[in-house]
Amino acid sequence: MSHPTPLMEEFRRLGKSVSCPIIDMHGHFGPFNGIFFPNVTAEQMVGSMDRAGVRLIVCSSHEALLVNSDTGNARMADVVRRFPDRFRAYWSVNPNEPDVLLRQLDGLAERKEFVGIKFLSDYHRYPITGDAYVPALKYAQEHRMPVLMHTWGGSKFDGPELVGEVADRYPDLVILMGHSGYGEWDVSISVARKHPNVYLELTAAYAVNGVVEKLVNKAGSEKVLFGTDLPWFDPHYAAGCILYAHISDDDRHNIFHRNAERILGQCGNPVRF
Amino acid sequence: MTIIDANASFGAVYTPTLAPCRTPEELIAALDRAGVDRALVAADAIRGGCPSEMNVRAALELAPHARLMPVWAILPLETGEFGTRTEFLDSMKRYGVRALAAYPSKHRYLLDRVGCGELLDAMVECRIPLLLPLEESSGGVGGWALAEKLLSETPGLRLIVLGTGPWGDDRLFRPLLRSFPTLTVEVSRYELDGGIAALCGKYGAERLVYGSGYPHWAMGGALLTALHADIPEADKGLILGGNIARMLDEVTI
Repeated sequence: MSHPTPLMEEFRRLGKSVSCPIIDMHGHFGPFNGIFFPNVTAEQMVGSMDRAGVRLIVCSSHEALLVNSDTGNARMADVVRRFPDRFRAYWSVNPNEPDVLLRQLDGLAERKEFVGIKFLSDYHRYPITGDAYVPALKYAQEHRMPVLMHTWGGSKFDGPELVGEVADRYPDLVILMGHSGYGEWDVSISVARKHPNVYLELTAAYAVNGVVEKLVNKAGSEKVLFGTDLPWFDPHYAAGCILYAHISDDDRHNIFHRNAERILGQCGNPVRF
Repeated sequence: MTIIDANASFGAVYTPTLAPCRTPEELIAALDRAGVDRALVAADAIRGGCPSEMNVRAALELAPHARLMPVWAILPLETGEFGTRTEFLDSMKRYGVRALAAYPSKHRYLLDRVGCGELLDAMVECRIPLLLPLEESSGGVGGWALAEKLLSETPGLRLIVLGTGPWGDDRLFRPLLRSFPTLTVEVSRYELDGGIAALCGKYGAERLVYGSGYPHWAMGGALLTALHADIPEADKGLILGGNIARMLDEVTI
């Protein structure tokens, strides 16, 4: 049993850290069909971020993912323009509308609100290895835009083995495995170890006791990213799981901000606090 | 502030667990590291084992540790496995048990008036809290629907529902909080951003209790969320320990 560390004590006392900012690499925006969000506006999200020391969040629009990708992505871009120091966006694609997807990619890399692309394949019931995603994957690799994929253990649409197949095909593509392939931890770790550009993102996974330690010990804290699905999950919940895991403060710095800073910087979107 | 975890367990695990907590000593070490003073503790194997044996076994293991308060599983009194109502309550008193839990799908009984009426009445009379994991079901009714059925049929039952979330079940349980004043929500899996503050504002902090779900769920998530919820310090004190302490103090066996 490891002892409390300075970072644990600082977060416990203040709810955040002066020396350790947080970058949330897995956020959303807007209401969602199956859940009531008390804090759903951009202003409310910033309030939650401030309480937990989250300096920047990269979000995708629920509306863009599940209702209308044109209007949803436009609203997402508006949020980034209103809060340029706090929000960045993933362009949300719907593989079930391949013609729309193709049209939307044109000029995407020049739109500074968007730093990456978001896949939600389980919900779209379409595999990340399917043809409809090919233009987006090629585009993202060519323009060094990270792709945040919802990944879930056992899924035939976005299970971690399929992530490995995509990474084999696009070796320079930066892939963020949302939820770290929840449940299939060993496969996810294996994929992240094999592919230098594949990262394990912690949303929801952090809650499973022992997962943070397992990912850090076997894949390395340099491959693990902080995320919350905000406005779904309280950043303090995610931070608490990471803070009370049996890892070092150096590992926590990697997870909370260093890895995200490096990825965003390498992809042409340096973070300046 | 005294922090009490209303949802911890120990021992051999019934379901896959990455980081089990095998002994009471390991649990105390985890509580110490998190700054948690006491815990209501169930034996993990209670779901797989038979309560008529496991209840006493767990209580004996926990007995040397005053900070760990045993939770016993219930069964219908009809089969006689716990003896009579009086004998069961006497046994609870002897082993220092002040909270019960129900696993009707694992132990195969009907958690309703016909199956457990006598015991449910005893819980109401003696103000004994009943912990109900949300994944449990009985007679084809599960989750919040089972909680609603229980509270409708047995008014005054002090029901603590464990493990709501993480999707945020507010649409399901808020009407129950409005309708049943003896319903309490445990927050180990209630990750919803702003959820605790919103519930406190509408229903009062008295309706929530802190739990960790440890060792199945990480120790720090619900703890840091409750410690830094956007609510008054007094409300945090209630959620993190005051409410469950009061409920346990009010038990009259």
